Amino acid sequence: MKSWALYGITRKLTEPFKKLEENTGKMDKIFRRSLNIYPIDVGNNGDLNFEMAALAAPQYNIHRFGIFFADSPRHADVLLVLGRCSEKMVGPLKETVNQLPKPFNIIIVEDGTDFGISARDLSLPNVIAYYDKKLEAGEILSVLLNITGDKK
Amino acid sequence: MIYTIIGLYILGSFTGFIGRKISYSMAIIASAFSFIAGFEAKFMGNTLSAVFSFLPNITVGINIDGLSGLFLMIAAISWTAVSIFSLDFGNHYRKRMAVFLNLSMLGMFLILTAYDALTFLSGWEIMTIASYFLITEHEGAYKEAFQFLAFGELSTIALILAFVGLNASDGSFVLIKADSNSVVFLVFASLAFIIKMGIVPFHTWLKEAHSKAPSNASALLSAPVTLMGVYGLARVINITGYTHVWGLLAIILGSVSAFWGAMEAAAAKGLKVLPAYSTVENNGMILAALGLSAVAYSFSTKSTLYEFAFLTAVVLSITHTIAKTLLFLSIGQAKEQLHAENIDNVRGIHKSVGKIPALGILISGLSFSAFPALLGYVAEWMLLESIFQSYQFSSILDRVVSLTGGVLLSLAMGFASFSMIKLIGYSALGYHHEKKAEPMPTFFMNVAELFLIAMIFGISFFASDLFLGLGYSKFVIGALGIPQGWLLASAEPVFGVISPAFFVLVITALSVVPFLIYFRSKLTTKKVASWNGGLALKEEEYFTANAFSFTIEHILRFVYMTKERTNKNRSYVAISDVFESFYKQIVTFIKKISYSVSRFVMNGKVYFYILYILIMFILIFVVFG
Repeated sequence: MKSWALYGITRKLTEPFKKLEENTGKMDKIFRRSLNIYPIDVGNNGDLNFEMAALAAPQYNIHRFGIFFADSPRHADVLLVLGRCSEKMVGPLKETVNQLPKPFNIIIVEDGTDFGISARDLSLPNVIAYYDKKLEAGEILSVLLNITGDKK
Repeated sequence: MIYTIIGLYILGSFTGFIGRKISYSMAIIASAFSFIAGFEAKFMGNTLSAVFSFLPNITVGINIDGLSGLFLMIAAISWTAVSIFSLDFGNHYRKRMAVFLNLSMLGMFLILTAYDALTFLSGWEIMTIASYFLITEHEGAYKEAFQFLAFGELSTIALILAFVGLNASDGSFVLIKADSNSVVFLVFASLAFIIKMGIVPFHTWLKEAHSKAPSNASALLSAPVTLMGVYGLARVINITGYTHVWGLLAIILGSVSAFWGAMEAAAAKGLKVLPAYSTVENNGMILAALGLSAVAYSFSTKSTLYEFAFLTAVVLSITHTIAKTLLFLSIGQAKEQLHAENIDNVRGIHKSVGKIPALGILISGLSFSAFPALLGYVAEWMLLESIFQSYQFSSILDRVVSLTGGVLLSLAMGFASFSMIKLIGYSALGYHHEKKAEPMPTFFMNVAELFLIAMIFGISFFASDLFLGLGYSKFVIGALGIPQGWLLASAEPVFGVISPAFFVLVITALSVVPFLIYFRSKLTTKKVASWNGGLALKEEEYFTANAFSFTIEHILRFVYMTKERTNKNRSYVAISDVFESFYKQIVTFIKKISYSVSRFVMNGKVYFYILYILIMFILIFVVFG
């Protein structure tokens, strides 16, 4: 991890984060400096939404790695599916996947509950990483860094 | 030739009772013959004539001279297209539609070729009454048809008065080669033709009737029937000569009408209301061009402006007749197959109905919004060039009127483009609603549309030949690297130039590149529905045609009288035409008066009737005794 490149700041403001040592698929190298992610909440219990909010906050500050939240799936490279899918969200989820421009990848993070349909059973295309447990913000960040091959 | 044409139309109207196809085929043949007759009269100089003495001092008959021939050719193009279109379109209507279509064309033929006022009037009445019955073919269009008839008869009365004035001044009813300075004739004849053209205070019937009538009847009403008004005005100018005050009034009325029509077209919501208002706009332009011609003639005959302005009116008439017929026919096909009345409900005609009607709407709409390489561009360029040349006028009144008219006409052109983009974007192109078009035979409909599309491109390409044929060789030059005979000039000495033929070539050549890019990117582009949070778009979530024009409706709310109305918990924006409410007030006023008068006269008391009879008896004795 690089220090915050601001003149006059000698101390690291960001916290070191928990790294997840699991093998994931790899995306193209061109996404190493710029990755746009679109999170979609398909029915998690709320925890993961807080983790997503923390990612953009100063503690994790994912923008320094060139990772950004896209406002529309049409601008996204990675779809982040949060939670187990409720019945009513199956249609919108599939439509969202349909709207992604190629090449795209999908990361599925479930929250470990028993409700809903596992997104794995929906046979979504290009799933690059799948977790059936709740991940913390740092772990999600390390997954994002892993898939782009940015090992820092 | 003349007897053949009239005979074919009459035969066509009789065979309408036997079979529709025979009747419409007769109309096609007769229209083609009319075109040939007009062509011979105009370009070959063969004046066809059949005149005989009807009563002492009264000769009636038919005579096709150059002016008649020119307008006969323009109208015949529209008649042919409408008749071909009706071969398929007429199957859904009763047999008598074929009868009235033939009669209406016969009436127009008589108007265009009339030698004398009586033939003219009979043609006028045949046309008006046949058109009335054509409008009533649409179910429940009685009110609109009656309104059409009321205005039609108003123009007939004005015409009768005009011909009385003509007879009083030169003692005959002959129209061809007549020469008269009668003010009565000028005023009432102009009034009659202005009503027929739908110039602004008298345009309300046009919108109602054109939007309600069956589409082939709308095309006939909108293009050739209003062309009769233009022909009438041209004939009036031919008889009385150019009058300065008439010209000024024509510029004012024409430009106001063009502006008003275009403005109302921009906010129109009905599928056929928009083209109807566009007709008002185009006829306003034609009238303004004629007026400019009159003013320029009174200013100086040395300047070529008066000739150029008259030529502008002719080219505008050609453009309007062809493009408006095409627009009404294409829209009519879509309307008939989709059973929809509003612009919003026919989205994606290119997918649901077919490519050819969509192309028809596209080409005619672009022609009305003066897209280069199309005929409308030539016409509107000519109109603007004529107005620019009004700098020559020495009188300050002429300058002010022509410049103000020019401002209104330019604004009208802008509004017309806006309205046509709205029509093209939301009907021919645009999102497709997955609506299924009712299958019906469309071969002849498509033939008619393709014929008119070819006309729009063809006449634009050969515009210089048209100028030469009409005898205006002074406006065809060669300069700026363009060979002799391919460049149009707006004056002599040269003021402005344009080469429509080269526009067609250049635009065709240049459009290859964007088309190639389009077809290449089509292979790699992923097409998805609009993003709406993963949900499918509902019908009311689309950006509608009403929303497209709402900005204008809001900015000009004092003119449009924009109001928000609520009906069953659904709000919508409504606009109204000021002139319509004016006529409505007249109607209510007359209803009230007639009610009170009838209550007073027919009060059901016996002694009142006896008193009335007694008074009448005494009066008759006093007067005639």
